[in-house]
Amino acid sequence: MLNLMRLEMKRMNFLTIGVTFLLINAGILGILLLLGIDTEITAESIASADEIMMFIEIMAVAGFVIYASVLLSNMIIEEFKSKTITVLFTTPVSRKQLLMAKVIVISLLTFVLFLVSVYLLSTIFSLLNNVYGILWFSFPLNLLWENTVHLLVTGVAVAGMALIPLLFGMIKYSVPATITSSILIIAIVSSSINSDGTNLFSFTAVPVALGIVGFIIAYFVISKAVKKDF
Amino acid sequence: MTYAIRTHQLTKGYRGKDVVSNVSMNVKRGEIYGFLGPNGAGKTTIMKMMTSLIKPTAGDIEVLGTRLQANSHEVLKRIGCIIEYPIFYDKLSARKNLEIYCEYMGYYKKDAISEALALVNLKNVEDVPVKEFSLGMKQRLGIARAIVTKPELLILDEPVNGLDPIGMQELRDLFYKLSRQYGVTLLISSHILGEIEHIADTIGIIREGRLVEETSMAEIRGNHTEHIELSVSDYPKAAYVLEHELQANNFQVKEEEDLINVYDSAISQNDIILAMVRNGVEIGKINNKNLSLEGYFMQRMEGSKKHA
Repeated sequence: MLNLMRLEMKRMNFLTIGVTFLLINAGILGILLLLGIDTEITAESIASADEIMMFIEIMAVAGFVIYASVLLSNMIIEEFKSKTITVLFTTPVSRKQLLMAKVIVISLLTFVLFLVSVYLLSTIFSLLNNVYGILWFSFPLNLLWENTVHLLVTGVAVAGMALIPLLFGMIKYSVPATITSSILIIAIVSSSINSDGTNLFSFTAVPVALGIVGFIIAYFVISKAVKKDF
Repeated sequence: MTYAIRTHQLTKGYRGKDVVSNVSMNVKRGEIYGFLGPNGAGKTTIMKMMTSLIKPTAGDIEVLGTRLQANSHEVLKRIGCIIEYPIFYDKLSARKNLEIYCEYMGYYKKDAISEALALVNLKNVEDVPVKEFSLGMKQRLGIARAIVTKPELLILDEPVNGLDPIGMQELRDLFYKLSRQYGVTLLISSHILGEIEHIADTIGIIREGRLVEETSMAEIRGNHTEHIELSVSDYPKAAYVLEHELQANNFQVKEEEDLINVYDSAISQNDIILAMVRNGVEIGKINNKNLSLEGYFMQRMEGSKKHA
């Protein structure tokens, strides 16, 4: 199993992943800096350090859940679509372990990228805020450490949530369906449900439940593919 | 006698319709087994079942001494295959494709890839992405991939498709060499008989999902292929003479082609000439014919059509 994961990672292009990671973070940082342009408007939705924290989290979730759908497309959907998976199926590896390895690698990567991104962005933004006073309140870094447990739980939930697009993508081995469904999931969890800016994501139970659903979907999709004729 | 592959009453159905039914075939170790049948006869389906890509509805398969079950993938280590058409990671180079395959096969011998590419005559293209390959080159690369791990059994589904005649000959020689020098068992399917007629030891003929015949080439050559062909002035009378005077029971009258084919090996040209002369049937021409496998195959096909 570990060997299969190693083989999967060997085939991934970590340079591309690194560049994408930096671009996503740069994008989010850009949005954060925009908050300082008109503090009055910003104040309507973001009025405390806690809310900034939540904002960064949601942005990172959105970025990396969608990026995970790209990885799912490249490493799973495309392999089924172009039938290259059948080549791997004629080698002496268990189909189940082969697919599990792919899913675990994507899940783990999403978990790591999400957490690194949240820590990195919070630190940079906190420092910039201290120096340039982008917002009218301070965004202390110790908030990040106080939230460690919450962030870890969210990270695991995100790693699961990122797998939900498999369900839609594997129906017809469609890359567009995979990516579109990931965007829809993000749209749903990050949409405001009332006027004070609360969204589904702010109830920890929601991402956790979606995370569990994601892992169950991955298991279901794998068991189906294992039994399938090619 | 040990067998590389044995299937027993192998059946595969899709939506209640059997595409393969009750196929019991025996591939001996070390031989080249030619698997013949028209398109859509079920050759690929059977080969996919042998490589665990699809699961049989009923029946057993034994490959290299292992009975295939839902999760028997270990035996795949000893098999090389091309199923349907060769599939590659198009964006990656030929070498990279083989490297990935070797790693999943758990085969780490350093020079194996270069050797395999040389065997199929793919030179100077190992670093070219596969998407730039022609069909013939892909076919060669597919064979290179199948043989790179030095398997005991090769399952090749229409391996010479898309190759020019010289390439076909080259690969046929390669298959023959693999079989005779390295003792590899080969199962080669084809819908074109000429492709395997000269190298196969055993021929299995499949039609509409059923194994119509399984015989050794030696037997086919000895028993069936030779016949006497003659044209005469009076066909009904000639037929009567053959049947009653010479006690022939295996002959075919094709009046519209101006031909009679006599397959009975006990009857010689001389017997026929004498009998015809005695009965006043004029013979236009008479000669011995060696039926090619193609003729034999066609004959078998038509025969089974009549029974069906």
